[in-house]
Amino acid sequence: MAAPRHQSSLEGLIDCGVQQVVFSHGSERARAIARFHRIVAHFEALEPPRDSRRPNMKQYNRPALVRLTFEYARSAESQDRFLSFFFQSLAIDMLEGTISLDADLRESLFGVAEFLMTNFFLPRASFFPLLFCCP
Amino acid sequence: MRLFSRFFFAAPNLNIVRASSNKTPQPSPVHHAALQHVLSQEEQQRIQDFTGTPERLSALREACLIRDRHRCVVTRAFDTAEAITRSTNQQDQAMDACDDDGNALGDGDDYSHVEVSHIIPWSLTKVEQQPDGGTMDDPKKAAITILNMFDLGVVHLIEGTDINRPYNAITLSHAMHQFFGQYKIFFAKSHSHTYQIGTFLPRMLSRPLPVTRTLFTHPTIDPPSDRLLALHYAIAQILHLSGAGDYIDKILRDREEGRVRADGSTELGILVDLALKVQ
Repeated sequence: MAAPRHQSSLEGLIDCGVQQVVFSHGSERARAIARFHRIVAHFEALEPPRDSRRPNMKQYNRPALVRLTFEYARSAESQDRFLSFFFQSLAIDMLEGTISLDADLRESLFGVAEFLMTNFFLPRASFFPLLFCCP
Repeated sequence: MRLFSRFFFAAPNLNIVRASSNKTPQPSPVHHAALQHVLSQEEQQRIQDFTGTPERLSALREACLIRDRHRCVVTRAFDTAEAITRSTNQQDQAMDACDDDGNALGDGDDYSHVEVSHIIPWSLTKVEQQPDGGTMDDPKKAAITILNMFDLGVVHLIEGTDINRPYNAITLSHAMHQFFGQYKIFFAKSHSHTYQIGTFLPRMLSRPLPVTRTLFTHPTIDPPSDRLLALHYAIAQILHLSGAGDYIDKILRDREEGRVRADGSTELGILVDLALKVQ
């Protein structure tokens, strides 16, 4: 993929889901999923598990948000769209090429989490139009 | 929406307002009438696009109460207002008022103020014509694309006025409505209309959960959609397991308290983004 590693904005990638067939064969999907898990698991493990100041509060783990969004997708088609979006966001190939688990990749991965958070989870979990208190 | 949100953010002491509320609005003629005076026609239309007209919400509420037999689907508590109405209308004072199954409503039964809650309360597909000829703004487009990454095509169930169809609503007690809207309780399908209802609440608040419930059905009113309940379930699990739920709660608490953390550059950025998004 020709896109640079640093995406200044992920907005331009949101049309990637229009693509109908992401993988031509099941083995390709398996390979992409393995690459996805390798990246996410590496950075997820580096995150602190708990906030020391608030032991009862789970520390927000951005790579985990990305992994779970993939895992809770309802169908293979939905997961394929997510993988397509994920690899385009990180500007690396879904199937081949060396993966450098470096600071740049971490930054790109956190960018994906931030994009999901600000465009989906935060607005959905704090949905604002519901303004009227019960009678 | 800009003027609309400014109005509400500027008037935090009005009880009709809770800008970060995540509950389905309950129809209130008084509040709606009051709003007619302060909002322009265009602003009123935009609110209705999001929340539905009072008539639609009233119809939704009535249908769901009938289908769910005037009971919270989680606690099975009977609606207090309905119990009072039935008791008042009871002609023979010696007889007890009855529930929807014809059983007497006794003083040992569980009662609660019940509300009708959207399963998925956000309308995403109201297409807006942009000055540049486009049809949808980027945040909305992004949200729909992300939704398709969860469940391809599910957006069609909640587009436009379909958001107010009975399959996208359930009857809940006030407290359960609050917890459901905060993704603190969730429905995991067992089979047919039977669900394991679980919670992420602290143990002292979790009663009666977890519990297994078979939802009531009605011959002419759609049951709650298992697909939409599954979407709600997925979001609840992701928020909890990643710690994002606590993180969002903290942001919203800070926002309600008007607090900005000295070290919270990320939180601040999102806070600002959120404020911009609602305008």
